[in-house]
Amino acid sequence: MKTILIITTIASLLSTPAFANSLFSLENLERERAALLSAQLDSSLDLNQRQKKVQSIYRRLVDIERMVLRDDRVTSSNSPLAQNAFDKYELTFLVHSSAEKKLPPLSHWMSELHLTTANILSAKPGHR
Amino acid sequence: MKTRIIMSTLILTISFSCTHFVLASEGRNWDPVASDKLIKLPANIIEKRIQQDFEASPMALHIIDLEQQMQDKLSQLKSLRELMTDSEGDDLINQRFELVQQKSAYLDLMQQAQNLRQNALSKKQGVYETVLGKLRNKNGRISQSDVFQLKQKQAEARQRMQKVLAQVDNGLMHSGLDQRSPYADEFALNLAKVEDLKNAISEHKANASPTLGDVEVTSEEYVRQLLMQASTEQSLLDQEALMFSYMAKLVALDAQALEYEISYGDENTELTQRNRTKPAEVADLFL
Repeated sequence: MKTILIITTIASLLSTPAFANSLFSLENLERERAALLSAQLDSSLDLNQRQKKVQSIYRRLVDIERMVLRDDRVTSSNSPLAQNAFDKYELTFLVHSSAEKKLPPLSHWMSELHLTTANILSAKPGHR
Repeated sequence: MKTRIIMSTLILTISFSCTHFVLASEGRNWDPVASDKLIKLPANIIEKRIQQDFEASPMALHIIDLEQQMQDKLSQLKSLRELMTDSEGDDLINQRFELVQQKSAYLDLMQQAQNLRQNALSKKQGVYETVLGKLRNKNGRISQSDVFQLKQKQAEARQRMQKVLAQVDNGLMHSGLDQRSPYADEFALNLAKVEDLKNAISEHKANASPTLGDVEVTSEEYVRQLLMQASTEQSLLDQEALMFSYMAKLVALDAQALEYEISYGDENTELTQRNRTKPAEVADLFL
């Protein structure tokens, strides 16, 4: 009886707490990546400001990307967000995938979305 | 006349039991079930659990009881044989008759035990087959599930990240961010401890994979091996059943020989022919 009680207690310790949001780290990553891209494209910032801002976000992104890749709760949820994130490794884990290609994160992001200079210059403004 | 009727009944019973094995197992059953709880146990424990369950069943207890009865019967047979060496005449006939009866009773007990063993073995095989099926289903379900696929993708992504970790860290240094983040520091510190704990878990005997000989095998392989063992036992039991049928046949032949002997005497007894007057012997009287 005592043994059963001990095993049950240990099993409850091993299980993931029910209140935890399993996608918490991935959602953080998405927010930080969006912030990085916004900072890169923010025309109101001067070069120095942008560099400072981008560096601090970049630093956080390095950690968060690693956290997501090490977080088993993300994959246990089997949510469309997680599915999509791992289907598009190049875009989700922007810092590490850009390092693989030896490109700055913004250039890597644009090349993954096929946003080349020629494409942008040939684009015409209009309603969709 | 009475002896003849008993002998004929005995022969009929023995001959019948040569070909028909009747299982008298009412209330002496064993009904193992391959429950989900059983599947969750390590494979080598599954084997022990099934054996333990069988040993506590009315069927196993009945086999033990039969074994005891057989031992008693065997000692009776031995003492009867010894007694026969000093007997002769009607006493010997009576003892031979009793010997055949005792042999027949012994074979009945043997057959009952044999049938129970066959029955237990086929039930054990059934459980192992169900366990194997459930293990295969479980593995199949896991490998086909969406969560499993997603976990595979995460593992691949992790491997991919691992290759550029140093490169990214160097990039941070070049950008003037030479101080490691609290997360990176704490993670590196914990990592060594985590590895130690993982090693301790993998070396723990309660977590050990089942082994065959000295080779570690999967649960599925282990259960397959158990099924192999069960079919080996099955084959040996079949051979034993053949031996019993031959032994029963021999007892039937003994009983038949005894019956003939009681009715017609033994084979050394010569046929006595009544004296008859032959014409040639008396022919002289008419001359």
